[in-house]
Amino acid sequence: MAGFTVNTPSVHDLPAYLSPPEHILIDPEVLNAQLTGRVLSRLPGIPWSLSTDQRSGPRAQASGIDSGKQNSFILYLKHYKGRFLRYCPGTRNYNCCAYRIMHIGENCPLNCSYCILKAYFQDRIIKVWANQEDLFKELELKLRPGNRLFRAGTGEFTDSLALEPLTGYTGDLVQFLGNYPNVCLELKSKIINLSWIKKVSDPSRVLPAWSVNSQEIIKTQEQGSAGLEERMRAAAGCAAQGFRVCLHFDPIIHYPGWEKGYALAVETIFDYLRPENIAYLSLGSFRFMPELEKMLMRDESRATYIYNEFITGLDGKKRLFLPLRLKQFAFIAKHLKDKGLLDRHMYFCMESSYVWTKVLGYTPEDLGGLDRHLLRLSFDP
Amino acid sequence: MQEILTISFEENIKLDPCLFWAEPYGSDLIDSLDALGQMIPVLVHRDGDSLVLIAGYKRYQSLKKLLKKIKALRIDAPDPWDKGVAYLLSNQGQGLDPGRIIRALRYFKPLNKDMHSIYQILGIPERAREKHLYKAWLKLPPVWDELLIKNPQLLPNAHALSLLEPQDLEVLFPFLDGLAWSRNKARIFLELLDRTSSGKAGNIREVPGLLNLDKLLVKDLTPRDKMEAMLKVLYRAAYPEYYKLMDKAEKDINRLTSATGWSCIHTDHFESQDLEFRIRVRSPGELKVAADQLRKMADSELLSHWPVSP
Repeated sequence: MAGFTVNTPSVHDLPAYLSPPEHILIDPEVLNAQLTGRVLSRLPGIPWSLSTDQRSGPRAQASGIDSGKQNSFILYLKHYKGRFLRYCPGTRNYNCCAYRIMHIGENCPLNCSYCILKAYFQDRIIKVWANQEDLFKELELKLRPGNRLFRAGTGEFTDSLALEPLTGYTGDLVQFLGNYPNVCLELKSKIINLSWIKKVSDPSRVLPAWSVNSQEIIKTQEQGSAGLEERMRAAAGCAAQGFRVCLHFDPIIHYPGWEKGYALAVETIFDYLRPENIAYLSLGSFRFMPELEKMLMRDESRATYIYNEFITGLDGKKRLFLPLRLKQFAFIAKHLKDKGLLDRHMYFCMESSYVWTKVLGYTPEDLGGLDRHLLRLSFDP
Repeated sequence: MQEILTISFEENIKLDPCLFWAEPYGSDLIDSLDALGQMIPVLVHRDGDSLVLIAGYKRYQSLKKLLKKIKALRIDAPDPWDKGVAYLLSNQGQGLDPGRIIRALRYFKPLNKDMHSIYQILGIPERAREKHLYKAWLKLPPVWDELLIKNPQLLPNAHALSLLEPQDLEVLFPFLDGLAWSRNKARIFLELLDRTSSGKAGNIREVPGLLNLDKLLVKDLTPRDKMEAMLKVLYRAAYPEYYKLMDKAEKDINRLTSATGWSCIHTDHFESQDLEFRIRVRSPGELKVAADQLRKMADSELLSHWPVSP
């Protein structure tokens, strides 16, 4: 490993949810990348080193750096060698929205109790693929303007915007995609950062998206994230600038008093948005890999919802027992419809056609397939 | 200073607490000592006028029984840690199980020294999961060691047990004492107790009383049936909505298949509406009958509300 270098002076102007990383690890190949320079200039005073120990990997290297302080993390600027454009890892047993993932990094600085990324990554290393030129080369090849439309997003393995104050990644991406009118990019987040807006050439090709939940869940389980009103105020700001937004009730949590909590959440949404501002809205019940259940029971006293009736689904993941899910879906869907949101603008994330029929009265097949349906909604206001 | 002593079998030697594995001696050792004599001396130190045995408990007891003189190596009074290490090293090569390991660890732990070398002597690597389990077990009251000695399958649950409050452990003790839980069943038992207490009771200690598990424990059942019955009660308490629907579905399925040779099950926790029908037939005649029964079942009004519709 190269010796630590301290990047002075020590002044950080970061939002409250984002504490500076404890250390920055950099792959030598991306030391001179534009993104690396930007991160280092925005994180003065933070020690960094080259991750030259390829054999043991960054996790082993980081373990020597990690102080174990709560909320601390190591930022790893990686030379990513895998595929940047991927399919959503849905399973055949449930209906997947089939959006394309633009893979820009892994892990997240927020501390949501239920976060599936904990079970996936099990460390406090936040990775950013710093070789953006490789991303753009791959996208150039795969997204060539043509008849084919793409609905893609960056919020699968990380929050789309949480690291934006450090990396400016989304700003670069929307600027690049300005040349690809056949791509609609969804930016899914739980924080407020609209710095990328100035780089958008066509607001109809970007869908700012927020995860929404009841105030109680946001307050107790989504540590560091913006409140619902803040999110909706930002969404309204986007709508005022010509964007349509996406909302994701995900994960819907079953807790005592959830009816009141979710009814209020719907009220709050429509205090700020009109139905036509919403491109689509998803409903997803809390589901997780079995490993996460053990982690929550062991480490997260706030996650009392984990003691609910979760069964093993057809995809091997745990999910809330169906009648309880149906009750929540029907309740929230009704409140959304009462507010004027057309049911065709709602969809379920990873649910069976049985659930679709029971709650909405039709299946994704009736819509010509969920992927096509959402593609239409993305591109056609 | 060291010296070799020859001690009369009549001399009363004190036993040091470091003999944490002292167990009744077997006839094999007596026969061997009788035939070959004592090859290796026992280890003692002097405490005032008395000798205190540090290692060689079985040899000492066997030689006494044979009315033979005992060869002993006397060493200068070591501290408890060194005595324990000497005992441990002199017993190296003996089979180690969780019960023996925990007895050794329990001896060394209050001596407040770095336990690293003890784990090494016991053959437990630094980063082994096993080490964390023993560390967790040491947080339990010493009386729990008897449970581990009786049932080593409890060790993997050490972490879950170590998180419980003393009152919870007290209530739980008889449930783990009298029954030979498998590793997996013990894990499920503890998880369900945790799940049930988090949802309904508030504390694990209240669950057995609320669900009458204590009555099941003293009921005239085989240990295996007791464990099964307790898990069943706990599952139902932890998943009430699930079992409500499952009971209804089973009732409907039983009505559907009654007076037929068919069995029918649903295995998807209501995530699908699928049913599996099964029958064994021994002849074409039986197959025809089975086909008729299947046709009748398909026409049954019971299926107008599919038995597994949530």
